[in-house]
Amino acid sequence: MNLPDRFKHANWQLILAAPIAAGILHICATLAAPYLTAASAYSRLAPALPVNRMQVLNPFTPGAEPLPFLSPDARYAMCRFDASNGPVTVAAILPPDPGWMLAVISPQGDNVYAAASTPGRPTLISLVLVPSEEHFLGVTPEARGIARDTQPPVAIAATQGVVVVRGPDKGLSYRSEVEADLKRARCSARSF
Amino acid sequence: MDGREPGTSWWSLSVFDDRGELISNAAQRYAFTSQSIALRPDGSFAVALARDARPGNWLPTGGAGRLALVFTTLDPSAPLLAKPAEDQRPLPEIRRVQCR
Repeated sequence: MNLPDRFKHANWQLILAAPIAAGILHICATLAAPYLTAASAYSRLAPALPVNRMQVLNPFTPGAEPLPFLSPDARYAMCRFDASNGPVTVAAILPPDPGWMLAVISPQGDNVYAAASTPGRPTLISLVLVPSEEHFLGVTPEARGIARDTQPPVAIAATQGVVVVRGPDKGLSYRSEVEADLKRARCSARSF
Repeated sequence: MDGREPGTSWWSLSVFDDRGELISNAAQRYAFTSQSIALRPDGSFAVALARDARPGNWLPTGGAGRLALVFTTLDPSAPLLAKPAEDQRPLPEIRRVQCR
């Protein structure tokens, strides 16, 4: 069979379908990569963190970094939360210094919530992490007849993840002060 | 490495080896931040990445071959790249000045 005959008898539908199928497979694999990775940041952090309790991490030193590329330019407090059995409350006061922030991150690495400090006044943060299927139950303080105090809490639909409070390392003289501020951050489960 | 303050409220420059791990050094120095770096009078800065101590802002690199530099900015008002072009500051520039 010569070349023109080969073209004539080729299964063009199959030839066209193959790259399209490969493209679809490539896109699916790319989108699924965060779920397929063998060792995610969450899976590395989770074993060392208690559930629903804030823990101040030790200063990072060579050989004792919890994650690659995590800079020692800050101290961290982290809470591995699990809201599958009920809401989890998070409270923190970010000092009025630049560089402070609080973030809620899902096991897949999605940043669900983030707040940074503002100059001039402390930033009060009060969050309620509510299971996705139960966020309509009215677990906010107002719905439960409790007056708002300092700042309206924010309800976030997240079942599991990590709360990260980050305080910049301003040098040896300030380390105890930064650590004391981190220790004031709270993360705890509560009943409906 | 030469740069200028990015105009954000807080920033840092950290050095890692090519596996993302901190490079052990006697000075226990792994990063400079906007609060710890020594600026020139015009607001610019220079950081020397070298095995041996250098005057000024020195980040020790030990015996690491390939390096990874992480420049972090925290600005509650807007992302660095979302600012208008006239408000954006260029990223620090890396220059090889000596190779031993």
